[in-house]
Amino acid sequence: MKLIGYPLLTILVLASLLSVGVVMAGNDDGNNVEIGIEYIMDYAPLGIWWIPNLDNTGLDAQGWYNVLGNQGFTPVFNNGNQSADESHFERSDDADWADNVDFAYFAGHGNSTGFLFATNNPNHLASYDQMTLGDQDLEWLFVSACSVLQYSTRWQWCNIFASYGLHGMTGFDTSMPDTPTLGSLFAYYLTGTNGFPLRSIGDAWKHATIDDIDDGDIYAAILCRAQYDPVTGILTFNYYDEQMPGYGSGMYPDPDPMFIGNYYYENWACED
Amino acid sequence: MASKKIIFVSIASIVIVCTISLWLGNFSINGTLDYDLDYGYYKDGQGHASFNISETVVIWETRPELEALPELLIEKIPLDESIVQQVATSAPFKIHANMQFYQANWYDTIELGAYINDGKGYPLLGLFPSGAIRYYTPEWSGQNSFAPILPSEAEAKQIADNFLSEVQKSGAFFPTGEQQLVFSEVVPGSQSSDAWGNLYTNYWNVRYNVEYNGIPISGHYGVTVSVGAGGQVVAFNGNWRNLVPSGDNVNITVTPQQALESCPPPVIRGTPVSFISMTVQDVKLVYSCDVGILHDLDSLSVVYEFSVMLTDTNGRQIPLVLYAGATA
Repeated sequence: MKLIGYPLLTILVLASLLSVGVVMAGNDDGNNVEIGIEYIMDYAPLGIWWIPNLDNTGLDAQGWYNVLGNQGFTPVFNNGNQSADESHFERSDDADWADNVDFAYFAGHGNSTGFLFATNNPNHLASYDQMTLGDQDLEWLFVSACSVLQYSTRWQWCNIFASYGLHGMTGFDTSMPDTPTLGSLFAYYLTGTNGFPLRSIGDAWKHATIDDIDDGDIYAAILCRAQYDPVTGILTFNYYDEQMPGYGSGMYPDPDPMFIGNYYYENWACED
Repeated sequence: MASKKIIFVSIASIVIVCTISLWLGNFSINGTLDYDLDYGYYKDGQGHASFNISETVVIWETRPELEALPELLIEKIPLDESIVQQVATSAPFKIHANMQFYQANWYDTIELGAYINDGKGYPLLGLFPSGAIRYYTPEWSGQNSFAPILPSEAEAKQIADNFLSEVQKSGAFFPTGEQQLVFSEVVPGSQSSDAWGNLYTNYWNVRYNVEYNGIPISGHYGVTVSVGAGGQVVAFNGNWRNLVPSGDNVNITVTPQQALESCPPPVIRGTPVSFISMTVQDVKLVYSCDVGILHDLDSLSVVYEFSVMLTDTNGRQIPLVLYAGATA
C-alpha cells in the first residue's frame, strides 16, 4: 500500500504545484500597478425608462483614477458611456480590459445580479454569472453601484473569483446615492495621500463610504478571500487587510488553493 | 427663547394636505414589493429604487405661516497637538503608547489627530476645527472578532450614554446648552460572515439626533456610538458642530409649496418605482447641515421637513420624510 500510495500522492502534489506555477507565471503580470475604470452617465441610448441618467459617475470613477494615477499607478483604460461595455468585465473580453489590470473601478447603475451599461452586448448587464475575474491579472474589483453585494445574494458573487485570482470586490448591500467624490476619497484612504494614516483596502472602502455617504440607512459591503482555522472556524487570514502595492505591508500572494472556497463578507452602515 | 418655541410649535402643528400624482408611464409593478423605505428609496427584489416625479398636482388646503429661524453659524475651534494629546489620553479614548500625530488635509478643512503606529493605525482619534470628532479602534475593523457576544440593545444604549458622559469631560468640544443630543435608536452597525457563511453582528450602532432649542438638525449631523463585544466602544462619531447664533434670523424666501415642487427626486444608482401617490401630512422648518465632516461649512441652512405618506397602486402606504430648501 505504501509503495503504491506514496508515489501516487507525490505525483498528485507535484502536478498540483506545477499547475499552480504555470497559472501564476503565465497569466498574472505580477506587478500589481495597473488601473482601469468604466463609468456610465448617459443611459439614454438604452431608451429604458427605469434606467435614468446619472450625473456623477464620471467624477466618481475619474477621481479614483486620477488620485492613484498621480501616485504612480499605471492608467490603462478610462472608458465612459458608449466606450464602456459589459463585455469588458465578462469572460468574452475581460482579458483585454478588466482582467488586464490589477484594480478596476466601475461607477453606474447596479442591482443584485450585476452592473449596468449603456450598450447592448447583448443585454447591457455585466452579470455575475458571465464573469470570471482574476484568471489573468485582476486583484480587486471596486463597484460603485447600487445593490451589487446585496446581503441576500452575496454568495453568488463568489462565482466570479477565478482560482488563484481575484482577491476581493467591494460594493453596496443597499442602494447608494449618485456621489461624485467616493472614488477620490477611497483613493486617498488607500494611499494616505491626504495625510490620514494608511488604511487597508477593506478599511479604506469602509472609511470612504461612511465619510462620503453619511446615511445610516445605506449599507456598503465587501466580499473577499479569507482563511479560517478548519477546526475552530476562527478567521486566520483575510484579504480585507491587504494594502495597495508599495504602501504599508502591501499585497498578499494570490489565494492559497487550500482555502479557495473560503470567503469573507461584511456590510456596514454608512454613517458618520 | 419662548417665542422661538411658540413659532416652532405652531409650525409643527400645521397640517397640510396635498396630493401629488406621480406618473411615470404605463408600467405595472411586477411581483410583491418588499417596501423597505429609507430616505426616498424603495427596495424590491432587485435592490433599492427611487421614484421620479414627471407630473405634479399640488392642492394646498392650508397655507402655513412659517416663520424664520435664528441663524446658526459654525465657529471654528483652534486645534493643536497639545489639545489632541489631552483628548486622546483622556478616559474614553486612552491612547497612550506610541502615539503618533497626523494632520489630514481634506477637501477644504483639516483633521488633526493621533493614532497608534502599529502598522494598522488603530486606535485613532480625529478632531476637526468645526468641533466634530471621530474615534476608531481595531475592533471596528470588523474581522478581528469571531462570533462576538454583544450586550443587549438596552445595555448598548446605557454604555453609549456613559461613554458620551466621559467624552464630555475629555476636553473635546461637546454640544451643550441649546444644542442637545436626543437618543434615536440602536441598530446593527456591521455584520460579518463566519467560516460557514453565516452572518453575525459585529457591533451595535447607538444613534442620537441633535436638536437646537428643540428644533431638529437634519442632514450630516448626529452622533453614533458603536458598541461591540464585551460592551466595548469600538467606534464613535460625534458629527456635530460648534454652533453660535449670529443674532439674526434666516429669511425664509421659499414657500412650502415652491419648495416641494422644486424638490428633486432622490437620485440613486438603482431603478425607480412608478405609480405612486403622495399625501403631505405635516411640514415644519428644521435646520440642516448640508455637508459631511470632511467639508468646511460656515452655517447651517434652514429647510422644510415634509412628512408624507406614499401610496402604491395596491393601496399600501409607506411613510417618508422629504427635505427641501426654505431659502433661495
